[in-house]
Amino acid sequence: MTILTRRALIGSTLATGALLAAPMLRAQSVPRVVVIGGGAGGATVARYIAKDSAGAVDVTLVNATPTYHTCFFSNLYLGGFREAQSLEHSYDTLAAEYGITVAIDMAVGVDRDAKTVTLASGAVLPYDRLILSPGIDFVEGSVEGWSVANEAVMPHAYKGGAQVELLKAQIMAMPQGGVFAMVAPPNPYRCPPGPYERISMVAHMLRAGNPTAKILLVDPKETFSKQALFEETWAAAYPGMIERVGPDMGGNVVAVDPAAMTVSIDGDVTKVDVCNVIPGQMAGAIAGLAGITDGNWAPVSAFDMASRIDPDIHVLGDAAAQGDMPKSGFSANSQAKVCANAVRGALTGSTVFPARYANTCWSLLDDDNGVKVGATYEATEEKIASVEGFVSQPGEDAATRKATYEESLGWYDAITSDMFG
Amino acid sequence: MLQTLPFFGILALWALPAVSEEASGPVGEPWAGRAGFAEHCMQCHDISPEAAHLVGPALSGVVARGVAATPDYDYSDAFVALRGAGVWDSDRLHRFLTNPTTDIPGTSMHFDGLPDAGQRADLIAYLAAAPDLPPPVMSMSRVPDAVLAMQGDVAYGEYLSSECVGCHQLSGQTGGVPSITGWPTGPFIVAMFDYRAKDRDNVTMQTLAARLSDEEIAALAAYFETVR
Repeated sequence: MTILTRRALIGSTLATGALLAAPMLRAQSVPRVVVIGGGAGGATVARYIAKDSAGAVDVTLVNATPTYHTCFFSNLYLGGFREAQSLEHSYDTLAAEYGITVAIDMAVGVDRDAKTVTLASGAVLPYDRLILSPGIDFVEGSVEGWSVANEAVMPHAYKGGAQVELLKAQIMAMPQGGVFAMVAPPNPYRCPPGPYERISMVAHMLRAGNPTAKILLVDPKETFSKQALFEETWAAAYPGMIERVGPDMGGNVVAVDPAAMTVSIDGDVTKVDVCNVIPGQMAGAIAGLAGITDGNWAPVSAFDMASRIDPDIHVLGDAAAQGDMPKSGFSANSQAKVCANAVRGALTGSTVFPARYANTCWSLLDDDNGVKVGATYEATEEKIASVEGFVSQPGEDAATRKATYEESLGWYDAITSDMFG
Repeated sequence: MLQTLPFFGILALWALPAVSEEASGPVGEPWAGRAGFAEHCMQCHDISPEAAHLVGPALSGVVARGVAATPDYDYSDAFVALRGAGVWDSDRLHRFLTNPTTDIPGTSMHFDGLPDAGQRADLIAYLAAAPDLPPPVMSMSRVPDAVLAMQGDVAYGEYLSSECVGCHQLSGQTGGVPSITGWPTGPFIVAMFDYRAKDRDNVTMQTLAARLSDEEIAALAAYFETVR
């Protein structure tokens, strides 16, 4: 286990003071929170608990890699609007300024009776509350012919970092007039407009450097998020480039052959140059290992994101089955703040305010052409329930679309500050 | 002073009909500029005859005053470095208002600027004409005095603010999403009332404000006033 924090050596100011005063008391009495997964849910909840408890709660954040690559905005990298480095974030500030113990490691097991987490390195972390924010994994067999073992040939690029960079390299290497294919995922999945923003961004790249290329979108769903907005711009800005095959035309009977680089749609085989397979999704593996999933996802209470199977475990973001919120970074960040407030209250007696949630998903369609969809949500016994929503409208003027795009840039800076300090 | 001559020519003409455009740009219309001031400036700047410093310095009489020369205002280092180096004439104001942070890097004025020269000319015309016009009106909605006088719960406001800081940076940095830190409570409450009444544009803000009670708006205002 690699520990990034300096706390073990010199401690944060507050923790050091407590140690000098009463080391045994502190060791026995400071409640421990372990957070697994350092993305929009995990990094935010770790930061808020550490910040607001000011040393009264011991927070350990476990993430598999020392650098986090946001999946949100990775489409803008594919479209040529962002550099890859602009999507990279480190945990250094969380360790140095918030006193969070950052463990670069993989969680491989949870013992709910002993209340411990086992890491790949063999380290065992005891917890009073465990917060899982592991994102997604892929359902094996979801797309016939594809498995995670094929991701180097047919990338999913649906987790940030190397996979996205691989997909971009493949797009850039396409022959003139070549075919980019995407197999879109079935519901529910991470970032509902994400596949369609990606189609827009790939079209944006191809229009500039490979204008005779074609995009084949194979989709098992009848409809998709912000469909009218996407299709309006596809027709106007990328005419003749994008073909969507929905379930009425066999888009739900799809198989791929990574060796032959072909896509079969209801038995009709097409040779393609790039094939982006975004498979069916499920909660990150640790949720299943902890035994708190029901089907593919982990059901939670809407009031504090606590698992309905084990109330000492909370689940945030994509992995949670919570109700009406889409699986998005914004949602995970919103849920993390409700969870942090509830967990800190349970462990330290601090005031717990009522849960409230919000989400907005921006998508970029073309240069200075951004759209958004969002809603507010409330906690009910049954689920997180939507209260009121909004969505950009077809035919909006260019100034509105530009302002919406610029708003998304501001959001990216703000949410990453909110996550990583 | 040569630079300022065309500007004062414009000022003298603002009230007259059918003025022609000067070489330096469009002629400003102070009533339009007054609306622009209400939209963009008065959250942080007072321009009344007995103006006080808010987040930003008082702006009464700013036109033709020296840069960073308003008494008793705690300027950023970037502004202090420019003290004595110029006055706020038309050209200087146009340059600054186009994009404050590129014109004066390091300024603590978190405003993305007005790229439209006509809007800038209107605003500059208003800055000069402010004493002769009625005070700007920030809002179409009517906020009850009882709400404006409310002592917001800062702790609750801090919790509620977690819904804001996913988009509005707590550092006050701007860029696509405006800064909301350090606002006086009055303008903050008025802005939220306007969003709640859907009198102010931005569907995200309208939706978020729709479920905020008066007490919650007051709590948010009280909290964000403390963030500097």
